Amino acid sequence: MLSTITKAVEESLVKEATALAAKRFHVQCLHFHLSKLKGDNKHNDVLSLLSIINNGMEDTEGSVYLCNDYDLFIIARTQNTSIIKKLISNLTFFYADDPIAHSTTSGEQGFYTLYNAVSDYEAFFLACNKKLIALQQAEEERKLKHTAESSQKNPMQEEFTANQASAWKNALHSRAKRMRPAMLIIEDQIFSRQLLKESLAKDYITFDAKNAMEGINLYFTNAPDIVFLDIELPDYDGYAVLQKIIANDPEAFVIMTTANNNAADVKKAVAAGARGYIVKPFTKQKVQQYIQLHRTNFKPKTE
Amino acid sequence: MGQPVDLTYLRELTGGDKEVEGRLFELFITSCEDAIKTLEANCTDGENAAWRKQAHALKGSSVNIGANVLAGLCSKAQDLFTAPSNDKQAVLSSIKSQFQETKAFLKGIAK
Repeated sequence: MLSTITKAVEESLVKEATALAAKRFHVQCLHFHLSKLKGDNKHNDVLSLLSIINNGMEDTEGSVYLCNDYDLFIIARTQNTSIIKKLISNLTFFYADDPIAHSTTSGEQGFYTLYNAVSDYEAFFLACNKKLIALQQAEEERKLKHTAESSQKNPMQEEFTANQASAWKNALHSRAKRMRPAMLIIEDQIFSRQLLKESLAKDYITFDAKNAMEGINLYFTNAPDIVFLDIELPDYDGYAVLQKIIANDPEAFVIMTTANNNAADVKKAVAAGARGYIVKPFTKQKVQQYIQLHRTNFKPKTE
Repeated sequence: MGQPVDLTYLRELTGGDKEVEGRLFELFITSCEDAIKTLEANCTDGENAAWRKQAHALKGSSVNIGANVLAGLCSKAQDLFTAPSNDKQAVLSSIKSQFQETKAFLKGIAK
């Protein structure tokens, strides 16, 4: 009876191949290159094959290794070459529809490789080791890809974590109770940011951010009443910030700001949910116009 | 020839507060100096996104303080982000010269 190994296969395979060096007489090694075959149902096919192999090998002792790429290695402790030939024939028949199974009889380019554990030991060991190395490389690549994908995650499209949701809930509660409106200025240029802040600080609570992420964090922890949001920011553009804000706070009062007088930008901003648009320079009249507009909806609270 | 900076809008926003005005002038000057260094570093042949971004940012600050000539030059620089380095160099040279004039004007007021 052959034992089938389907977990940590490559490592176990190399381990057995290494041990084989000491007692390799009367051992036949077979490598079926099933990874080369076509078909979308390889997994089920290979599971069917395992029963064919066990039935065909009768009482032969040994192991079958089902690798991660579906290649099969059989280490059989037998001198009976006719059993091995019959097994090859059965497996070739199983894959009758696949041209690769019939293209060449054996060897690396073909459907299978038959090794004599004495005369071909080195080649067999190399074939086993190659599987382990390939698996380790694939694992390494998978990790690298995962790391790259994680670093490319767009925080603008991520859902709130439990902590963020709780902070946002508290911020909304504070917004409903506060006496003075709060303003958030998201602007990467320090001079423009400070100019707007200085002009608002006497009458309003002000927060300011130099980039999109900082702005988002301040928005969802303070729930400001009005946001002055620059379109060109160093990390994400202002539209992405606007979308993130509107998605979570449809009533948000966001005014886009820019140094470019571009009608397409205005249209885009308004379509995305902005309540207004200021083309620089900031002037008292432009800023107050939007604060007044907001005030019509903002009812001062009494203590 | 007119003044390099029209402070009308800025003074409306600051309410004429001289202390705030002085702080803002300093901020404008230092941020312009940094921006010019970045433009110098990105004065390359062909498309340069960092050049465009920096020119755009400098235009925003300039127009906000009322340095309209400087803002106009920055707008031109912004449009030249795909131009050969010679063209970028020429507009950068004008920006530097205009900035010196603007800086002297602001320093003069702050005294």
